[in-house]
Amino acid sequence: MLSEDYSTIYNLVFKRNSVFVGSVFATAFAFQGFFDYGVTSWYEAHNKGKLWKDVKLKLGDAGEDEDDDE
Amino acid sequence: MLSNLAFKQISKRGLGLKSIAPRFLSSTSTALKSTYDSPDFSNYLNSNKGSSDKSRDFTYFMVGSFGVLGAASAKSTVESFLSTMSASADILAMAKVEVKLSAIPEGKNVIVKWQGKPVFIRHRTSGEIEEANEVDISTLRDPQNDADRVKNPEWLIMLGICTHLGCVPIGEAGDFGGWFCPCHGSHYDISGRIRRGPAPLNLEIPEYEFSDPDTLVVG
Amino acid sequence: MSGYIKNVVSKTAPHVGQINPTTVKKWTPILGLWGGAALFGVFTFTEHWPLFQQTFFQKIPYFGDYWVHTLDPEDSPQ
Repeated sequence: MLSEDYSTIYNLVFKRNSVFVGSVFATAFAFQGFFDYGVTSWYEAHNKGKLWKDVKLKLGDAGEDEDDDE
Repeated sequence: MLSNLAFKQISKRGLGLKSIAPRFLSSTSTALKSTYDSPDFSNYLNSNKGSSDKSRDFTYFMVGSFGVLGAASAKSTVESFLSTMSASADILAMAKVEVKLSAIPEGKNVIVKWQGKPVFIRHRTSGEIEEANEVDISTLRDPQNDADRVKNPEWLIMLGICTHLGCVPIGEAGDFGGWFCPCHGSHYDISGRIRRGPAPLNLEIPEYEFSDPDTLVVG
Repeated sequence: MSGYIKNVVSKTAPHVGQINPTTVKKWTPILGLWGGAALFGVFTFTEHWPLFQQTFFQKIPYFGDYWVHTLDPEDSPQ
């Protein structure tokens, strides 16, 4: 990385506090979304077969012999 | 004597800025340098030539990413607490009401209670639908097409609260073949539009949908 | 050699208290940027709110589908 790039990043993002804070919030927004998506994907992969959406498919295959309780 | 020595040392190294070539006992060089005894910082100065903002960028980046994590966790915390205060599932379930439409014969009114308010449901005959459509809306106090008030013209669904002062109109009454409010004499037509009397607006249409051809979900 | 100017000839710019065209020109872009930062802040904190999800977040071009919650043929009303 050229020292020029460091300077451009500085001047573009870090110099004005308003821009800095704005980018912090924007990054937080994006981070929230990606983090949530990432963790949810991992969780669903880790618990594959035990989630309702998988169980629902199995119920469909079994012909829905399940009887509800009284 | 001692101060001269120190003076020369400072002149030689300046304030650690190597770019300035020291000159011995030159008046110009002495003018550039401080005449105070200050420590030599050359070991601590950035060795980068020119002005690179790498270290500054690094610092700001660290601060900024801490801010990102802080903002995200603050939001999560606040949201967790606020979500405990939102309406629970049983309350939300009571917000809607289901009606079996096959139980309502043609030409009959049914009143259903929804969120404490009466909802009029009328299974209209085709004659009534035509009558509703034939009205010239420019003559109405609150002009609205019948098509704008119903999703399926066969079923008229509206709140049974008079728009004047909130009484419940009586069905199949009044001079316009619709509803009549006994409190102050407002007449509503077969589409629930105000025709005569003190009420300013037509009877309100709530949110509803037909979840299947035989079931109406209000709310 | 008479007639030297003894005082500075000055004119007062139009102002309301401390606010004059110079300060306005200086501060407008800064306040604008802070408004943008505040907007992003609001977006961060209202991410879970369905009203904001429908009006703003779902309209983001590529990632908007993340906020679209479709429930499968749910049999619960039945």
